Amino acid sequence: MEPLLDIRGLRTYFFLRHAVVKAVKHLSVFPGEMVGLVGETGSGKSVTALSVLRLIQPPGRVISGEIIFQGRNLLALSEAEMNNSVRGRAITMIFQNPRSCLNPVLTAGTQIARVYQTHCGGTTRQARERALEFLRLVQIPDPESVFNRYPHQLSGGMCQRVMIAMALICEPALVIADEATTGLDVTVQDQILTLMRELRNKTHTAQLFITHDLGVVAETCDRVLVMYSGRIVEAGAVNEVYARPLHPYTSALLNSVPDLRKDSRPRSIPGEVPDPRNLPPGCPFHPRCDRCTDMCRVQEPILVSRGGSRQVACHASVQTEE
Amino acid sequence: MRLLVYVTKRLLLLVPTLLGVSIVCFTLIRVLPGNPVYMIVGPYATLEEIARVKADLGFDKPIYQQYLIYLNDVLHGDLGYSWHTSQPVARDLLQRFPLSFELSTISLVIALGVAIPLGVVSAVHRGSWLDHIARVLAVIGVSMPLFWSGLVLSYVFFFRLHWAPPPLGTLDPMMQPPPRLTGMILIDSLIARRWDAFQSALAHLALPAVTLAFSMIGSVTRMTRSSMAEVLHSDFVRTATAFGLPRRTVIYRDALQNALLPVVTMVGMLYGFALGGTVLVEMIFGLAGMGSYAFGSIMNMDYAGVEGVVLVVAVVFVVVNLLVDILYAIIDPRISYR
Amino acid sequence: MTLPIASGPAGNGLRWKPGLSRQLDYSWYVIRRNPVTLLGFVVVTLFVAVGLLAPLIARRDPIEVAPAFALQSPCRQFWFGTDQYGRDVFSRIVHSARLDLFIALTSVGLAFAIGTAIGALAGYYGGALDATLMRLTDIVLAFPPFILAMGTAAALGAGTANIIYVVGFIQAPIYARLVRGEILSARERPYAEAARCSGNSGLGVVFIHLLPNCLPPLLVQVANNLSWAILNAAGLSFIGLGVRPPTPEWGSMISEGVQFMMSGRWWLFMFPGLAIFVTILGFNLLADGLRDVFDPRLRW
Repeated sequence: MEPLLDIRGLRTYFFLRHAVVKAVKHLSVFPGEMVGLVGETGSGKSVTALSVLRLIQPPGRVISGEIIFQGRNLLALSEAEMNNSVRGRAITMIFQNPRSCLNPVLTAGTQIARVYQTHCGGTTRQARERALEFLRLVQIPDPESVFNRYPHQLSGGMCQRVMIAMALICEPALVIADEATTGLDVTVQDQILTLMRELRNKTHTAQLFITHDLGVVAETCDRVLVMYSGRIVEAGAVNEVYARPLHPYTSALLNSVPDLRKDSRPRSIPGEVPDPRNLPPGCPFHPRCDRCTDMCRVQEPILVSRGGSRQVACHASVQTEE
Repeated sequence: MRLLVYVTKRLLLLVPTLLGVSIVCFTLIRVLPGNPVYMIVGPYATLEEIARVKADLGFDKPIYQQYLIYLNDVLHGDLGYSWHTSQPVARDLLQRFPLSFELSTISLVIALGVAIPLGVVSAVHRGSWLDHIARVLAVIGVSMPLFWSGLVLSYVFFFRLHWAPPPLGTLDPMMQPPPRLTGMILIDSLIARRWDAFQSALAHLALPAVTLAFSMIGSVTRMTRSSMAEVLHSDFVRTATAFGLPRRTVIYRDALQNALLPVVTMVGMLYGFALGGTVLVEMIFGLAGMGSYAFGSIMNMDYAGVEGVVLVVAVVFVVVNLLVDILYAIIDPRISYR
Repeated sequence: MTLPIASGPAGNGLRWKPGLSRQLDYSWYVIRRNPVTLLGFVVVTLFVAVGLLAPLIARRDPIEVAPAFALQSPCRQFWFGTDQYGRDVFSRIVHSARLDLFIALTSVGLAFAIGTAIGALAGYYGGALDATLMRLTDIVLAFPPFILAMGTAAALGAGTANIIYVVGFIQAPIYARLVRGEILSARERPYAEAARCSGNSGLGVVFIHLLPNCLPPLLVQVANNLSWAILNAAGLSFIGLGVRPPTPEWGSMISEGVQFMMSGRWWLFMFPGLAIFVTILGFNLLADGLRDVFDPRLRW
């Protein structure tokens, strides 16, 4: 099956005063699947999403690579084409802190309808009808009343639902959710994730979940990609990766999640996340890795396929296999 | 509905504020000056005359009673008697207020009309040559004393270049003024269809208005610029862009609407500044407004005149601020909700 | 970040907080780096220097009348020309710098002292005291500043001392509000509680411990207010409510010079005005640069 979104060799660099921070990505999303992109803060997850929609601001810049979406290289399109056919239409994105993502002086409904009118045309009434329809779709109890409310009058969960409605109203092929549930109450989080799953089942929209929360990924996604220091270090089906992690970082991450059944303390990963401006040579994880070899210190491992959808970038795992 | 509650609350707050203003004005006019009695009777007065004037002025009564008398007078439109114009202060002010109002309003409109676009363009095109020019203009405008820039403009455009008319009032001295309806020369000449008067008034008001406007442009530009720059980096602008809304809409509707909110609150303060500035500008350009009346009163040691101006201007300022607050509550849905 | 240190009952007095000196260092760095801010700093330093050294810079007596030399345009003997009484304009401008420096410092000092005290007490003790004090400052703020200055100066009469009181009085509410806000947030912090527990009286806590840590935003305000004080003093002098003649003051020099403007004697109003303009410009450029130290979001 052809991937819906295929990111190849994407290099996004940030030109800071004294250093250049690099982020490299290879990533695919297939139609209708839910993919999780996991990593700690600062691992470069959001940069991926922003690069796809070409929202990277100076001092950042996309240096090289290809982002193939529905047969076109997004990096080769003009700004106008991005606005007209991609952003808000074929690929949409929802963010953390939904209330601050909405314009405070416009009503929720106006903002949703506006997205529809911009991309699909139609009269104000038609847009309003469609907006109400989608407010119902995201299970908002009183759509007419919420339509006329301002963002500060809505709860965090409601705002996120409004954003989801906005994201779906033009029936995109891919929705990117960047830490969409972070900061919401756990119960609300659960509701939103259930909603996203149901929507995928109903509309077959592919979804890319960017999060630091392994639990979210476990519940919602089909496939997972693990990121560290701007690179993808492991990929595969969720249940496989979680059951049998290949990369030391992945297994350490999974071990660090506290288990209510066990009586032991959660094990943290020794060391610290490296300063992106000053990465260690070789594999960026090697200073903290318990399976570090000489090659790890010198040469950066590349992502290799390990059967099926499994990929891993680790010298040690290759050696273990052999 | 909530808006109504907010407006009512603010209107109720108006009363203590105005009372406070009146107390301060009373203090200025009665409590502070050494002995105004001598001002009135002169240095050769007899003891009886002094006593009589004292009783007349109510100086023999306790302070709070004097205040109540003062308040009562004010509420009945009696602001005292101006001895240098031989008229009640209230009548003088009624005559002169419209011109000052006209001048400050025109200046404010010019200032906003120039500064807001400048600030917006500055923020949108940060670092460009336009941005640098705007920045330079803004800091110069804020640093130039109003009375000096007026003089410089007058010197350059009237004395040297002969482009502007002589700084002597609002109309050509040879011209018949239009019938006085509102007291505002531009409006009166329009109503009377006197295009010659309108043109002449425009020419005469140009330099004073520009002077006053120039002093305000600096701060408005800076405020607009920083507010706009902040909004352009906000989450919702990024989100709007992420949803493919055209750049034009995102900047000039979403961002601008939000960025202008702090500027609106500034307008009230600016108006106060403009009213204060009329004192200086009217004197320089020979305009017969409230400001030059205050100046004349000062020159002639006419306390009633000065303090009358202070009271009226303060009241206008308070009212304008109230209107600005209400306007703000209307355009920002977050305010009346709280 | 080093936490502010609370000390015992007033015996220890004021400790030099490490954070404050770090901020001063950074301020100096900012001043050096940005050429515009540096220019502002240079101008302000020049103003202070001229003010302090006035008698040395301008040897001629600014008040002495010399009708023989009246109304001369700028030349080698009189750099800025002479006025209608034959007084050297340059000398008068230099001496006025000294006067304005004095007025600025004292009036802002007065405003700072009164306003800070009011704001600190209102913010710390809250309740009825807070409400009353804030009502009072609100009433002062209900007037357009220059109008209130004019009215008060008219009531008190002209004279240098009166200008200082007036200008200080109208600026005090600004400090009161600022300090009140700072104290309101500061009094909830752990170090405030520590100071209370160490046995300090309420006033001790406020003035010795809380206030020094609230200083940075106040400094920016001070820089702004110094220029504002000069502007107001000049404005009041211009309309005749300020410094009494024959003491030279930039504002009154301009108003005296107006009568000669139409006969082409531009130097009488041009130079004093330029002096005000350049000085205030310097303060503004400096204040802009310093604001970046304390609130980078507002950077131009």
